Amino acid sequence: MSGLANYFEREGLATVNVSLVRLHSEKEPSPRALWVPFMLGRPFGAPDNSRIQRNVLDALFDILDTASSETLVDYEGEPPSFPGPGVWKAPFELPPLMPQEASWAELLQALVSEISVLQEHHQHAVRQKRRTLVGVSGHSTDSIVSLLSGYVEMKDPDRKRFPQPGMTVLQGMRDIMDTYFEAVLYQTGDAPVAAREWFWNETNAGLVFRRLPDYLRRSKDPRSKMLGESSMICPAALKLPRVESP
Amino acid sequence: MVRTTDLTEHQAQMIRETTSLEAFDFKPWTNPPPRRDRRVALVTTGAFHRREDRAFRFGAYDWRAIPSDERDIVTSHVSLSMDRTGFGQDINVAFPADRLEEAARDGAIGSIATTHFSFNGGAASDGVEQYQKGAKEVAEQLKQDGVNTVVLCPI
Repeated sequence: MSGLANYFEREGLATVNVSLVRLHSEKEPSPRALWVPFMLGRPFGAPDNSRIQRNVLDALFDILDTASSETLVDYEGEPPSFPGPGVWKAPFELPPLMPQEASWAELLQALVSEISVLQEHHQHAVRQKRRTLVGVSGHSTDSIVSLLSGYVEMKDPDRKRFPQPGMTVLQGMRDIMDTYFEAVLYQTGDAPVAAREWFWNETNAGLVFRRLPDYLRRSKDPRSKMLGESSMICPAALKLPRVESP
Repeated sequence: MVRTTDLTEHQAQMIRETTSLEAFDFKPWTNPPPRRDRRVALVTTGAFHRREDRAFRFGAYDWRAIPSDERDIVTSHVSLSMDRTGFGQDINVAFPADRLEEAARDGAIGSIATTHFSFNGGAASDGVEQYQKGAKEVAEQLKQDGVNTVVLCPI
């Protein structure tokens, strides 16, 4: 972020940036920055909260008005609150969670069943909200599940269908996760922490994704193998216990 | 969020490692015009793009143009550490296009750029110098549009 700011300033454009990680802004300063006490992914506070979004924008404009040298200002407003895991509840029931010792084939079958239940809720939610992030991978859910299944059977990914299998795994995971999050949050309203806990701990999709790195590491495809070893899909990044394959 | 004490140890370690980037050896400064003359663009590092645009590849340093009246915006950022449920519900939580329009209507700024721009911030760990080419190209387009002020939005 500070890199872009400095390049733009050098080109004669005045800049101001939001900072989500204060340590970065201290060590790599940009000309004008506003540190905000919000979650990663939410630099303007909260969805569907125009007041806090506008407050942040106005604070950025104020810095442009007043700063005459390198400036890092702390945002003074309170961070938004949302219902936590003890309060929030998913608005519908899914099929039972599989036991952790279930085979990969059983888990994938459970994932397919779960998604078929979820799809109806998701389609309804998206019709109401008129917005979705799903679709960036360019593959259907069935296609993504088929790619994941191939990793377990130690098959080399089908390069005609998946020219970049590692990237498709990443984008496909996000498509599936977005389907789950949109299905619940578009109905209940904002609850990012509780919905994340629900996804990883109470859905078969969460169970599949927690076990996936173990299979990717055994892949014949070097990039998929690298992905399995990286922090990109590492459960530790989310404070989740790793689930070993049986 | 986000002080490192608020993060998991894994996230905090990644952030500490990212700060090992070399500091810039230049400190440019451009004075902004008065508010009524400010023409403002949003530039995000959230790997946002129009639905029909090519997704960002992992580690990509290129950029996408987003017309300022476009609202069907998606992201190809793949980090699991970052919440994107907020952006799914309302783009303004990370890309305040509607709030910027309101600011222009009530006179807080002069006008809005015809086009906003997006980079893939996840690529930064390899070195910020890689962004220079794209930043120059985007700066040129911004100046051709009469933009003089940029609001940079992380993810």
